Amino acid sequence: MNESIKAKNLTAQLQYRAAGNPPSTHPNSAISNAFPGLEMDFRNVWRRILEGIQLHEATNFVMTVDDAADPELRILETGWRLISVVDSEVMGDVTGPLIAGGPSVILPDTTFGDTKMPLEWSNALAEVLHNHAGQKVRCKFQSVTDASKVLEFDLRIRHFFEHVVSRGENVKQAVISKELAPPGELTQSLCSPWQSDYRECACFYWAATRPDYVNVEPGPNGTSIGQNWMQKDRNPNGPKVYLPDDWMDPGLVDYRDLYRDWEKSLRFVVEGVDEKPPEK
Amino acid sequence: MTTLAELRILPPFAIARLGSSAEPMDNYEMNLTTPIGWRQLADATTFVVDPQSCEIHAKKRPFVVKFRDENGKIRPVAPFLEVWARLDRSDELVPLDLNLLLKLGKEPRALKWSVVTGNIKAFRRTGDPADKVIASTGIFSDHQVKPLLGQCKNFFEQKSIPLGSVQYIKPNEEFPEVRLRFTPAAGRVYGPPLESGKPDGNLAGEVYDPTKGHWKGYKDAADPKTDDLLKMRRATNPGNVYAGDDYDDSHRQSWGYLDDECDGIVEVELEVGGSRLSAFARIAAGPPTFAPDSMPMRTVHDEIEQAMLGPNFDSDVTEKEMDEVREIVRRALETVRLMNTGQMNKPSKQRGVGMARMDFLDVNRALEPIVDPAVADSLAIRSRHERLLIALDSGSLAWFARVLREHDQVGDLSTDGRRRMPALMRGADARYLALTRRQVSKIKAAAEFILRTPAGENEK
Amino acid sequence: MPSRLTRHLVWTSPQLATTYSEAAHLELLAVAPAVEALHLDLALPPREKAIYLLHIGAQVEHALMAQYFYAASSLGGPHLKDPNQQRNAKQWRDVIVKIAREEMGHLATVENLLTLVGGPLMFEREDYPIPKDLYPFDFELEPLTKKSLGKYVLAEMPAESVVASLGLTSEIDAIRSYVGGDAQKESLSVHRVGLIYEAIQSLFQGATITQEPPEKPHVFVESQDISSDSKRFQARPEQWGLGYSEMLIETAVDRASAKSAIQAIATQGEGSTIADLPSSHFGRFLEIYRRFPDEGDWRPARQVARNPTTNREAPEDRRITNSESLLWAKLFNIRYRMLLMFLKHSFCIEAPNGTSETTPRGLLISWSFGEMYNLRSISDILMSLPMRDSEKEPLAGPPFEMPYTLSLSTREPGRWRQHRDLISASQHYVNQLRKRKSGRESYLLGMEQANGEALTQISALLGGIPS
Repeated sequence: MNESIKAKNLTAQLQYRAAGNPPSTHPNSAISNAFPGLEMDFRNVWRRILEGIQLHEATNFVMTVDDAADPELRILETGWRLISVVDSEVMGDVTGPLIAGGPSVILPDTTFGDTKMPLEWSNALAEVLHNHAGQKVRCKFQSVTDASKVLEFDLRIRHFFEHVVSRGENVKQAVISKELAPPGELTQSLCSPWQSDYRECACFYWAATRPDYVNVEPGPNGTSIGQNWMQKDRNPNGPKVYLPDDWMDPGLVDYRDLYRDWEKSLRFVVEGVDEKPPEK
Repeated sequence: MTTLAELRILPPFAIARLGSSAEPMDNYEMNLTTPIGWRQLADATTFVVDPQSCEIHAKKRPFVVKFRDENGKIRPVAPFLEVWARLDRSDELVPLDLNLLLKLGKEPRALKWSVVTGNIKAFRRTGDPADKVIASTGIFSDHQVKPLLGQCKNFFEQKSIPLGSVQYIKPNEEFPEVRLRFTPAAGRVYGPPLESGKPDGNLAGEVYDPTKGHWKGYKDAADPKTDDLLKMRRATNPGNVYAGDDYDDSHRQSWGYLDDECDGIVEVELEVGGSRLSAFARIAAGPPTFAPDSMPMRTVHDEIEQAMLGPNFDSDVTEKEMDEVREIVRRALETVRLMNTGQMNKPSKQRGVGMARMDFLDVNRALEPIVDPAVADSLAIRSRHERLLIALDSGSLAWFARVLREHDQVGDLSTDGRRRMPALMRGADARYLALTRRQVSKIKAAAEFILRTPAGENEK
Repeated sequence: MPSRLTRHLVWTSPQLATTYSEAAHLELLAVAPAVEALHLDLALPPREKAIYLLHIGAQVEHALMAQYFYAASSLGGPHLKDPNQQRNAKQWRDVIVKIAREEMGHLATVENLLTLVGGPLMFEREDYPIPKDLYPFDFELEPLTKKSLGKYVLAEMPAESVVASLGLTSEIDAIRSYVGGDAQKESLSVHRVGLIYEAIQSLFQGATITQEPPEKPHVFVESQDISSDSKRFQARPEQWGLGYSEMLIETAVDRASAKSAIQAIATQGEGSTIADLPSSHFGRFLEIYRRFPDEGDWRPARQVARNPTTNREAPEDRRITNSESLLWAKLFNIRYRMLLMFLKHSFCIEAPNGTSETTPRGLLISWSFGEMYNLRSISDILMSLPMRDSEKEPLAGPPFEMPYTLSLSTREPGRWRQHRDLISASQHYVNQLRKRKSGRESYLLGMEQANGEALTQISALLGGIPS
């Protein structure tokens, strides 16, 4: 344990690991490609970044206008989305071929037909936050029902980190400011219960935390063989057949197994190999 | 008379991990002993809390790192939070401990703690504030375990969900620092009773009253043909992520299930020198890390660091940044080692494959494999990452920076675009994962650094 | 002196082209008007002729690739203290490495064309220095100087007429006098390799319908010898392309694609119009030449050896004798041989048909990339070590020596055994280097681990293949 840390050394405070705390207590073990996330849906930290409104954690839709906000903003509750803050666009193009080998074209989403996608807040607002935290910034909004309708407001972009006044001085701390997320908000958009998210194929997000391919070894034709972490009753020395992750497949752990006893069905994997099945 | 200018709780954000064992998980280290091997788990200083005295003592070492207890139950990860203080006219934080309290003329019970956590997953969907499950300890200064009982207006009378507990550890001579421990819940599922009256075998407790609230039966608005478009936009993305059955092709009807994950705020207050000083930290509880010797590529810490320092890495590159870049490539290796990349690369409309299917379903992109199937196998991809990591080790590779996906290229679903790094993985905005801008910036800066100094100078 | 391969090519002045050809029983392949004519002294049917010429093309691309890579790697170094100089050196290095990578792409394209006509592959090359008979200069592994840069500009130059149309004649003349020596000879101006590619293109050009029978029938590779089905075995950009989209690899399935593949190689090299000048090798070398400091000014490159070698019979000034450098140089040669063997082998294995098929092709491609990273790393290490014990400079460099054989075993199990044995051979040098404890421990340990994993994978492969 350290003897002292410079109060201004916020980086050291962010990296700090308290005595007795395993590495998995640290935010550097929590994934942040949140869709919706594992330990938390960190996208939620951005909902209240603009004072007066609450944004959707995942899209740029305006969810509510705060009671205490300027009444002018009330209209944003009727179906608007944020499209830019200062000169940072928060939407991006989705382009790609419609047929294999074809040219890249704009690909509207299949649900709403939007021709642009909302970029994740963390990267989209990184520059604005860094340059203007605490200041009012020009925000552009667009109606979701009529793309030609645009509104502009100057809203204050909140400080990400808590500031306190100490001995007359404004001191920045390393903790995420209270006003950004009251209790429960960082986890609110996660699956309920989390076990159902584990069951849906999340293989292509977080393999280092929720493994996909285990007991892997070189196969006889130069490619790998192994097992799916969700396969029931598997044995590292047994036949190496990977069952694709479709929850309906009876060879795979199912929802009920997880609700009832996830601790038995899910195994720790060290050096890519399953632990022995738990005793009871 | 000594007095304080400020209090802080460190770490500012601690994560707990669910498990039903009564024995919390020991501390361990993940040691990198070889360039491309697995991290080795080794025992580390572990505190055991005595249930009678509420004090801690250090566990005898060495011990074997075990994630389960004798009964096979998973040991929860229960983090400690320490209180640190800045003395008046000092620019340093020091641990608040018995000695410092003595100098301040205070006893440990002068500290006032208060913890509030919540699980508001149901509220996020229904919009009904009465669906919020909130646990609050109220103010306490003693060292007994304080359960976090999640209360909800829409529960049956007297019912609650245990969301874990907190304990203000009693400082002693051997461990005089002021600390609090957060122990998460067991990882159980709760909900309403079944209509039939039979017990629901999935649940540890039938707590939700379906006559009071509408979490049971709730459906995300998902069909543009029948649902209100604004309601659809309000739904989470991804949507339909709650336990339930498929009401029809687009809608999932909730069974009203809740879990015992939560996140919240730990606050401490001390009156000293005529002022009331307070500090807070954040906590969250999630599932265990099931591959404890592997680390993810993009983490909450990377987000927080970017928010703290900005998207551009502007300083001089030192060995520290080189180490951080190696760490990113290593984590990429650790991810692909556990991922069936050959399978994830497949284009199929069936479940059990990766992003190619999502690209097709979400935006109608032509259904094609992401990288050429000949090179997609896990071992081939793992080989490449290993050799890249070794070459980075000798300080002479810099092309990596050129193949990274920029934050605004996430929607580029062309053949080349989809192959950028990290490949095959989904990001927070539903399309392809990009590292944080700061991570990308650091890698680019490190790439310049590599080319400017000769190989071997980096290695002592 | 021409090699065993190139001695069948005869160069004459264009005026003598037809008469000489007939008199000496040669076959005229191509003519660069007012410059030179190319003849062949063997009577070969068209497909075999194409294969012969493609083999020459492969050797040239290979020689260029290593030469440019060596030159690029020499740029930079601890002797540069000024950040502007460091930046320039780094920028030029990036440009020339890219050119080297493109030559590698050309090599892959040539191998694809050989595959198209069912011909044997060619990964051989002479050892440096390679005497000039196709190029105005010897191929050499040397640090980048204004003179050597000038040579590259002249070697990649398009025809005189094109140079004139670009208004570069006087600039090129100045470079000629600066480079001196052979550069001043009149006969320099033709890009002999260009003629070879022209001849290959002509061989892939089909016949056209004419009313009268042509005086001299056009010789071309017959359709029955062009296998569109061979694409499965060719090096495909999408398999090599993971992030390397700038590496131009063309595949070919018919006459048209074969011709355009050759054309693409030629254009990228010489560049024949103002439009493609900036992207051609000629254009990019010229750009660097213009900004490169004169002799006596600052020195962008390290003082590395010229044509270093591990060969004990070579002239003393080329021999690597420092014991540590010698070990690294031998390790380099083995890994280089492994790269070429992996590449060769990958051409023998079909790319999988659907997404469910699995073949070891991906593994070989991945290992090939791994070796490219290794060669780059070891190259940098060599360029920081002295060549000889007695003095700090010259520094050593990667010798790129050809092994005693590049033959691939006839059957699969034998091939995997070859890889296994080469990995073990390289492990011997890794062990020797680790014993010396002179640094680079984590790199060596990493290589050792990777060797171990590769050996495990080969065991599994051998277990699965019926001997």
